[in-house]
Amino acid sequence: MANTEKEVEVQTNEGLVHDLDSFNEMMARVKEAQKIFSTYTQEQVDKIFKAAAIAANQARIPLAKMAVEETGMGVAEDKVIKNHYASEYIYNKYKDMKTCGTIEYDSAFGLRKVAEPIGLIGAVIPTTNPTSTAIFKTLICLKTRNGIIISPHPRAKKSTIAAAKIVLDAAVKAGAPEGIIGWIDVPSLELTNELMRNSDTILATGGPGMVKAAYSSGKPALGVGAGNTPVIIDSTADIRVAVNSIIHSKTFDNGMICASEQSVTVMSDIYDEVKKEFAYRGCYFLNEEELEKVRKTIIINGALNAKIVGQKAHTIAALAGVEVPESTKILIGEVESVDISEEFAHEKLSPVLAMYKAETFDEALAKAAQLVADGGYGHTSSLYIHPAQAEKIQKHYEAMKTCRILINTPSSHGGIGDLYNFALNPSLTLGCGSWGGNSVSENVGVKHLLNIKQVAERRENMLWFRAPEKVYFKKGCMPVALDELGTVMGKKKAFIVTDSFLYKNGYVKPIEDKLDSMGIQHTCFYNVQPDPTLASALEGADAMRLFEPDVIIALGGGSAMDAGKIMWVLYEHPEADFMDMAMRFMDIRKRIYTFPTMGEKAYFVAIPTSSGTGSEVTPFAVITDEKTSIKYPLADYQLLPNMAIIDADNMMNQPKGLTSASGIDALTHALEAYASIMATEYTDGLALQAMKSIFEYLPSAYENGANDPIAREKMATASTMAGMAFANAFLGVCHSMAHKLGAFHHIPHGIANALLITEVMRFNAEPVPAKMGTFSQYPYPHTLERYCECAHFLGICGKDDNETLELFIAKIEELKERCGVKKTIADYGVKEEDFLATLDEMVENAFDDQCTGANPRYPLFEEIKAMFLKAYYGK
Amino acid sequence: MLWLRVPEKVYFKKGSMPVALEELKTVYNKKKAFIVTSASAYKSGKTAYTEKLLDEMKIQHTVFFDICCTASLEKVQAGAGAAQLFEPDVIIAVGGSGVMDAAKLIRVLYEHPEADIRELASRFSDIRSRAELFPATNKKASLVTIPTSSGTGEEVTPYACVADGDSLLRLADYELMPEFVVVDSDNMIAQSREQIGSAAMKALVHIMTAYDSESATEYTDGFAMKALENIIGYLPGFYENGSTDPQGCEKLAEASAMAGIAYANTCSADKCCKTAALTLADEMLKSSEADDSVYARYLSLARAVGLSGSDDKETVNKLITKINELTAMCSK
Repeated sequence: MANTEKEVEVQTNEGLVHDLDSFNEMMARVKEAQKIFSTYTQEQVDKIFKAAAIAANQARIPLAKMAVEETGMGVAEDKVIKNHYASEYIYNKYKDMKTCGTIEYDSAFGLRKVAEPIGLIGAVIPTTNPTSTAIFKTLICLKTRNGIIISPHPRAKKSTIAAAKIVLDAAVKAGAPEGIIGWIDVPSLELTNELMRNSDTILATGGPGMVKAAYSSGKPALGVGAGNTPVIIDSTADIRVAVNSIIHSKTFDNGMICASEQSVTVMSDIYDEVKKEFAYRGCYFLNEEELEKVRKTIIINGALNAKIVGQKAHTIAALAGVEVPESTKILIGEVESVDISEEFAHEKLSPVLAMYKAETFDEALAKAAQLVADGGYGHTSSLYIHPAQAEKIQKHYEAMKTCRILINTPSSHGGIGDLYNFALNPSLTLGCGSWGGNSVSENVGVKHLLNIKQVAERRENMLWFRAPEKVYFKKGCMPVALDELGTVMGKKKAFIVTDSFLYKNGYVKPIEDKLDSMGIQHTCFYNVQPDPTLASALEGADAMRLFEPDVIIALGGGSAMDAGKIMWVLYEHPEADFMDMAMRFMDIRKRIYTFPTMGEKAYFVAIPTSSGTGSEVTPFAVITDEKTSIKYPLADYQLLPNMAIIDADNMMNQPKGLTSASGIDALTHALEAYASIMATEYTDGLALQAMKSIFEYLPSAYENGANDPIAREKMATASTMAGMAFANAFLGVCHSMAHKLGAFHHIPHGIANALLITEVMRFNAEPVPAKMGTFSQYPYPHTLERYCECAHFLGICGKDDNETLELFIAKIEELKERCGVKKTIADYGVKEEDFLATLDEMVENAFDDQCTGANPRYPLFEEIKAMFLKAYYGK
Repeated sequence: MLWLRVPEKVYFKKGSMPVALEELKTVYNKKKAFIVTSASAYKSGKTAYTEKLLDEMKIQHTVFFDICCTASLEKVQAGAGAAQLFEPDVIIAVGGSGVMDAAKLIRVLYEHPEADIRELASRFSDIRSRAELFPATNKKASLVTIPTSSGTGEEVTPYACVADGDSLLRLADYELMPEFVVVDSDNMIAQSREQIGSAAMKALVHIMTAYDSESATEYTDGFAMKALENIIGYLPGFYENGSTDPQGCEKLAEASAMAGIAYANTCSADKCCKTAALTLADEMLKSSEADDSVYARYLSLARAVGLSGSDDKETVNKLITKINELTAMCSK
């Protein structure tokens, strides 16, 4: 004793902290010091951390002796290990960890993590491990630039404070601010509560009462609780390893570690052998009479008898009036009940162990689970088993409501980490998760004492340009392009999808001739309806399954190509669900549903016969369920055709109405893709070129049809380019609304777009929209400028942007008029009462349309309604 | 018949690489990646991030970095030999045009050890006259290109150049085209002024060669036009400020890839060189004076990139002057 005091002299901190005033004074000093400490650099902190760890380590023996002297509990030699561990292992673990300022920066994602101290840590230190816990907590606070105030256990205050003082002195000597570590000299409930109330975070280690007080204080707490570690020894275990590990762990510091084993459940087939080994290694099995005596000694009125905590087996036996050899390591009681009414089922914090017998592994698990429930929720459990018994190990970890599950490991040493497993973090404060009423479930460490700021820089989404693998064009190119099916790809069976008009009028003939000449077998499905239905797609897919094509050729307008795409899906993936595939997404790359992989059975060739939809190069398809009249718009790059053949020869004889409707449709594609919040430079060039061709050639294509093959060809190319633009940049609210005019009032799609586009342009061009679209690369409402870029490219120039827009709109109106598009929805024969009756539903459906997401202005219901009304009445 | 062919997936935007490469695991379930890069890029750690991402996805990888400038036939053969031992299911080229060209050819030889590059070069130097088929690729490994300079455009082209002694072999076939392209300007931000200049000159040559080509289409015109607009708008700033101008870097990265797409679909093989850049403006002036249709095309290009003069002639002159300015700046 005298020797100890000479080496580690307890000093007071400018007068003892014993009442509220002296406490507040001390706390103010710690807070002041912490303010300074919070500005320290990583280098300064690491130097202090190292110096403090070295000092604590050097004092490990005197501190251990002092703790045993003061508390009268435990084993000095074991406490040396704990002190050594708390300094060396903690230092080693965290020496290189960044805890100051920027600790991580990901330049690709633009995310910086900045570590800041929490401030004042209130540390409650238990009597069972006073010096090691004090060393541990002060060290991790120094590493994190936190101030710490220690509330020691009254029965261990001297040694606790001595440990804190050693760490403080070394830290200050290494440059830490004076007073960064404080403590209560004369601990009391009042001061402990005061500390908890004033801390920024409480680091509580102790019994359930203390932990509960910490969590109830209203301050964030890292508290841990009692354990009641149950051990199972499976029939496959190495008995010698199991028994000796348990003895080693259970006797460590006389069983005072909270992770220490409290009971052993042994499988019946090895029970005798295990018992024999325990006895051989110096454990004492209590007979019935002795068992009863010990029961009455260890638990009194349902609570653990404080007198036995940390005592030797012989001492406890003597207290109970049982005679055992002096060298007895553990008192073992063979008991049956795992109920809390059985004294041996409790946590005993001493070398007293319960032993159960189980007939089956499941019975052993049930016992262990009950013992955890008896008072060790969330803490630790352990299993001795042959390592190859993966199934049982899994059963065990699934059954245990504990945050540490140790396999073939002494639990006292194993639970604190880094001794028997080197990935489990070293710690003297073991989180018990929500089961134990804790906020953490892992071993508490440095990371729990930091506030991490995340500095997120604005980044733009990854974007893409995707087009069919092969896009072939030029008048007369079809046979040349189809040639590849035979020569390059060696296809054997082609399935042609088209509509009956094209079929009857001989449009399929050149394809069939070409296929025949290459010896490719073929069949044709020509029952595609204008709005392709699920029924006809299913019919086509059935025909495909019978025919087993390795190439599908869709010839026609949007309907035939869309139907072809859907048949392709159904043919390759009969299990696919349309509801899932049609689910709305905010971001096509983050959608919940993963589209099935296409192209495993057949190659898809799209050959348009009208110049408008662009479906030959888009990842979209619309299908109507004729039973429910629900339209399923599908969008996924898996639906992108593999080859597109744009041969104006197939488009020469489009009727005038189709030429104009699909031509304006293509213009709308280009305009919406250009204004889209997802527009990119890749799509811009395509959209602009498409617009230019449409303005130049649509009137002649409309008026002269096949007599102006150049105009036809220009329109064909324009339509495909516009298709590529919106295949990657998507569309906008004009299409959303046009879809509904089609669905509710059967206005042809191109016409519907024509009726709405200029309204939508005025709407989008507004520099002060009610709400703008949300997309990282869309910085501010700039659609007016974007429309003006288009206008300038087309050679339209007003004196300012607003005039340019008006001139541009006038030019679009003029184009519409030249192509025979009427002025209003009313002009197309939609009755006013029908229109108004469906208006609200159309508004809501248009709002929810997949196209709305890319619109530069986020439309409100009322705004969509207003546009519909204007388009209806023309004013 | 004409065509537009682009790699199956072209991903872009600053910081896009980690997001794009995720697909190697999530979509393609790749197991083994063979990275091709240059010795200098490897030594300076330019592939480290790619390797880290592959590690995170548990894709085994190795790096072949014995490439510098234009690869030689021997190096390509050595790379293919290494690939045959490693058996990758994806080849990732991280670098400039030499590296990307080498990776294209390494894949051919990896998949077709019997193929003779010299022979292929003599038969497949013009993409528009193919009497027979180039050996099919993408059977064993897909090709990912990740450019580190903002100019080559080789990441999206079906061309490859390789040195054979003192001569240069040129190959052109869509079988050489990568399937997966990642244009992430973070990979290009560290270019020196000289690199920026020489890359930009290459892009300019690509743009004008594509735009002037007899095979130019409206598709390629759109890409060429936008690429030129980016270069005119952002090259001076990026050239001047380098890594402190991430926006300029990104615009140049896109310009380079777009120029590459235009070039890939209009020309027979990669014939560009720096000297072409230096005479570019002169050539433009000559041909615009000699040919009215060229003059008209330049006029619309000038307007498309936002140049305008008091009359058409001045507008065309502005375009030529601008290009002259840019090439002069870059060749300093």
